[in-house]
Amino acid sequence: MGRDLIVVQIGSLANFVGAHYWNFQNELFGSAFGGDLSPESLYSESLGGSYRPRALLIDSKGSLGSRPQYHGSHQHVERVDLSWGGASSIHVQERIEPTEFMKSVEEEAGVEGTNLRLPEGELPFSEEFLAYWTDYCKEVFSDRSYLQLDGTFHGRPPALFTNGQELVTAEREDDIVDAFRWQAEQCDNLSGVMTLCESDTGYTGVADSVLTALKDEFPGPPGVTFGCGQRRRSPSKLQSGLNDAWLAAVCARLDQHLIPFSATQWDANTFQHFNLVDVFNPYYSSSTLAVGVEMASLPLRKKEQMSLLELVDRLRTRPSWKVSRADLIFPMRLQQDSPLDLASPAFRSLTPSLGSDLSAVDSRSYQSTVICSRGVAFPSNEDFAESECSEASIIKSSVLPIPVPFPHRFSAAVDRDGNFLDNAASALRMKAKGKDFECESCGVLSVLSADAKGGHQAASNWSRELRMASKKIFPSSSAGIDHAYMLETSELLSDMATDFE
Amino acid sequence: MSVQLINPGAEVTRRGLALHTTISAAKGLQDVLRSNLGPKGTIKMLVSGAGDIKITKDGNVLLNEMQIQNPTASMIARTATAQDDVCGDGTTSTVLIIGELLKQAERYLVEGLHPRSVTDGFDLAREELSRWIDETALERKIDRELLVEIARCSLATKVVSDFATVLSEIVTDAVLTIQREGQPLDLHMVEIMAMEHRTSKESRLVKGLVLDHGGRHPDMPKKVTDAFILTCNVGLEYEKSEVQAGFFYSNAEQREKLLEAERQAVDDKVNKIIALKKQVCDDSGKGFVVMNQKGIDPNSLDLLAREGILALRRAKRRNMERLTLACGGVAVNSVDHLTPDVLGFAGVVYEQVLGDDKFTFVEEVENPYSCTIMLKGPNRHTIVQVRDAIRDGLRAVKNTIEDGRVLPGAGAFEVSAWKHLQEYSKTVSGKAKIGVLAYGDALLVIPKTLAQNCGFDQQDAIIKLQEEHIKGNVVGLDLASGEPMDPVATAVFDGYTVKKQLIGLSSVIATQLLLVDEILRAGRDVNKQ
Ligand SMILES: Nc1ncnc2c1ncn2[C@@H]1O[C@H](COP(=O)(O)OP(=O)(O)OP(=O)(O)O)[C@@H](O)[C@H]1O
Ligand SMILES: [Mg+2]
Repeated sequence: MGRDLIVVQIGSLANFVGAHYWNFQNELFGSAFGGDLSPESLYSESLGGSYRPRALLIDSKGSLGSRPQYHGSHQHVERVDLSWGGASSIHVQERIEPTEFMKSVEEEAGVEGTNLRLPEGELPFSEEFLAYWTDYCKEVFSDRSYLQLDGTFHGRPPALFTNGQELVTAEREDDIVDAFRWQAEQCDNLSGVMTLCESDTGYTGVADSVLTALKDEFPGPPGVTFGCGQRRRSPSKLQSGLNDAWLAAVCARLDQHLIPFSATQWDANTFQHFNLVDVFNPYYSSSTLAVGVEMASLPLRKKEQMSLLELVDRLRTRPSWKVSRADLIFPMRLQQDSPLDLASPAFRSLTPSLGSDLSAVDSRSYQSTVICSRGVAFPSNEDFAESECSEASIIKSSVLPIPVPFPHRFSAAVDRDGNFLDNAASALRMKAKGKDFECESCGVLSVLSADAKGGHQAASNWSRELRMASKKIFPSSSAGIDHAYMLETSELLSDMATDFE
Repeated sequence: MSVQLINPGAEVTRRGLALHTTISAAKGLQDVLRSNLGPKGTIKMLVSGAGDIKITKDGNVLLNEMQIQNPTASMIARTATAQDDVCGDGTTSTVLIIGELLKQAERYLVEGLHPRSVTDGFDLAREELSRWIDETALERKIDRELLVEIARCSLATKVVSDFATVLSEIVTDAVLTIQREGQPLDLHMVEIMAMEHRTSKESRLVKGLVLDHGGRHPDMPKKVTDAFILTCNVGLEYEKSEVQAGFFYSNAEQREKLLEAERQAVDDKVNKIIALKKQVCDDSGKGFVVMNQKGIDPNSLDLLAREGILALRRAKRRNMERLTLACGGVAVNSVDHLTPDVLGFAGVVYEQVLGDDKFTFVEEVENPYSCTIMLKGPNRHTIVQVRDAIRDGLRAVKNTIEDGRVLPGAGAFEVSAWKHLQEYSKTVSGKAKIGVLAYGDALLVIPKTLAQNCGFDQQDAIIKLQEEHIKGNVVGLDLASGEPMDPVATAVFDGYTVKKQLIGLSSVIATQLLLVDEILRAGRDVNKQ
């Protein structure tokens, strides 16, 4: 059965999310907690016997921070042989130091199965803004996983999807397709592609070019695409709305199933236990989005797994419903006293463009709902069968640890078993002073579902964005995108909206 | 834009100011790239914040590494990239010439000349040169010898000269290999395969293919001689899409049955391939290799391995094309009705393992219309540097074959263009004449910089060159002595397309930059209406 997945990460935030996601996998790999999951779905073994994630990390230049692009390539600058007859000059950029956390990871590397233990009470790194995902990502990728685009620099993403499209030159497209093929060659049975894409910047244009090229080269089952949007201090609403819409259109055109995660509208209360956490910091928002990706991809990684195609088929009540919503209860008490309740007010939406309220979802679409619980024990399993959502697919997985370095502020709010402390908020505020244990596990409940009302609303919005832009920004042909094409794309989304009715 | 708020008097100074910023940005970029030019230019080692090393002397590569924010500079950088896209060379010269055109313009602008007058002259000069370049180009017999010289000339500006000599033969032969009567040259048929290996630099031309993967089964042969090659695009793994609608099986037994049927379908395909193998190989001792663009699952690999077949999965699409070009045969999309005439042939197919990587060589092929430059280097940055150089070399050879002519190098072309514009300016009346002359002077930046990069006095060098040219001798700069020399005799050539493109692009962009202020104002006028 198709079980091998390839993960394609496009844009800065996608790679921040990806870094957390791979940290989760890294933690599970080879640990007893991974019990009912099969890591082979995400990793390939190299000739030399090391396991490397099957991932493509597409990002700006300079996005790797302190991590060298070529594994083990470190060379002493003084000793480099320039082999040049004439003059030479050396230009050294200011050294980017790895975080303390990454240093300790490196130190412990090679020691099989060590769980990283930090000195008592110490945070893995200062909680200021982390500039790079490589500041906390434990996973080591193959050199061929890193793809950096000429023409962008870290912290300066392309503004609009048209700018993004220009970054993928013919030569770069070849490189990307080839890097993908190299990963695919290692798969015994390719199930499909899971894409993470920064959705509020011009990286959606990069995704357009990349996914189109991949589809052309590897026609196969539909994949799943997760949008990733972030709250920014200086947002350009017009541009980010357009970029979001473009990603939706790309997915619709390529038959990708879209789950438009976004933290753009989060405030301090959205994930209430993060209420002290900086919503502008991509490190935090990406960690929660990563939990969303982790849970959504759980069915694909179970030993008795669903293939990607089965998951997509399941999520689509109708073939044209190509967008799903995702909601989480996170963290969740490990022991529940009441049966599963999809109307619980504790659910938080990761996909605000489809509306925030899960209980508003029509119960008739339960047959295309996938519920995943991790670690949570409900009073009796039969409750699932008898409950209104008996038609939903339910995936349960054993208890898993909170992956290190999950935001430590958060871990202050839970007890040893992942239960919420009654005084969670104040514990958070006190930053876990004097806490003498490490939290080992925490529960999550996630729901992926088709949402007729939300889907209609989102698709109409996207369609309107593009229609308006076709008047204002693209009145004539520019940058390869013309007025007519924008209108056509807007039409595509408006058809999608109609289908949702 | 705050233009509306400014009174007319201030507008003049503003224009001056805007131009001044534009020109100084162009100069800034020129300063960065100046030392790159020519075989004696400065090679640059860039060390990133993470310690990654990049070694380059190529204008375009360097521009891509720079974080350019200034709009003028990034416009110039984009022009250089465009130059690279079209001919793969001349990016440093482009930036130098644009900078110099603006500098020359500045001289006259401070004297009160309107930018229009200057740009009108630039336009005239550009048109005249585009015409004249055809006259001055050297018609030469395009044989291997000339091509090797061209390649060496290009490569010697990127890697140390001994190595350039080795590589020049390789790139020339690579292009000649893929050349086919009556068909355009497609450099995609030359693959550059890089391998990181301690044992220093080694590069060679493989007349055939090298793939960066191998058989995925331990029992498959590592070396196959006299090999039939089946090039195909057939899924040899469970294709889930075939049961798309049917995964809601009513019971486990039904599910089993469906899976069974699917497995059988895949096995049937594999067996058809095996049947063909048996038919052609029989007991003749010949080998059989399958190159598949789609996947092959472990079960199928096993069946093939048992028959002694070497099978590679997920071959690059472009390699499928290369394979049939090199080995003959046709790529098939289905294994139904397979016949022996779809098969290609190679004398030997073998695997080589280098560290964590496996490579498959397909050699001794019938008609190697496709080839691979195999490049070994001790580390990443050397490989990247050499690969960039090889790309440039390939382009230079290709351009020359297509152009059918060359230009004298080492600054000879620029000085004779200068001389020609001096003469031409006599036919131009009015202020545009100034622009024409300024254009000629700007071109001299190339020989001047070549001289400067060798430590010679720019003025001395340029005067000697100009004097010779006025006498009617087309000479360039001898970088060893600083004296004039005959570029044809010493085999220093420049590409025809490269210079032609360069002249067009740089003057268009310089004109745009000089008039940017006018354009802004025109835009405002339109808004007013
Ligand atoms: N042996 C030589 N003697 C004198 N001049 C030479 C010699 N070889 C090359 N040149 C000159 O050097 C110049 C090309 O230098 P170089 O290749 O460094 O820059 P470029 O082609 O402008 O830009 P790019 O960085 O894209 O290659 C040409 O003007 C050429 O005539
Ligand atoms: Mg050059």
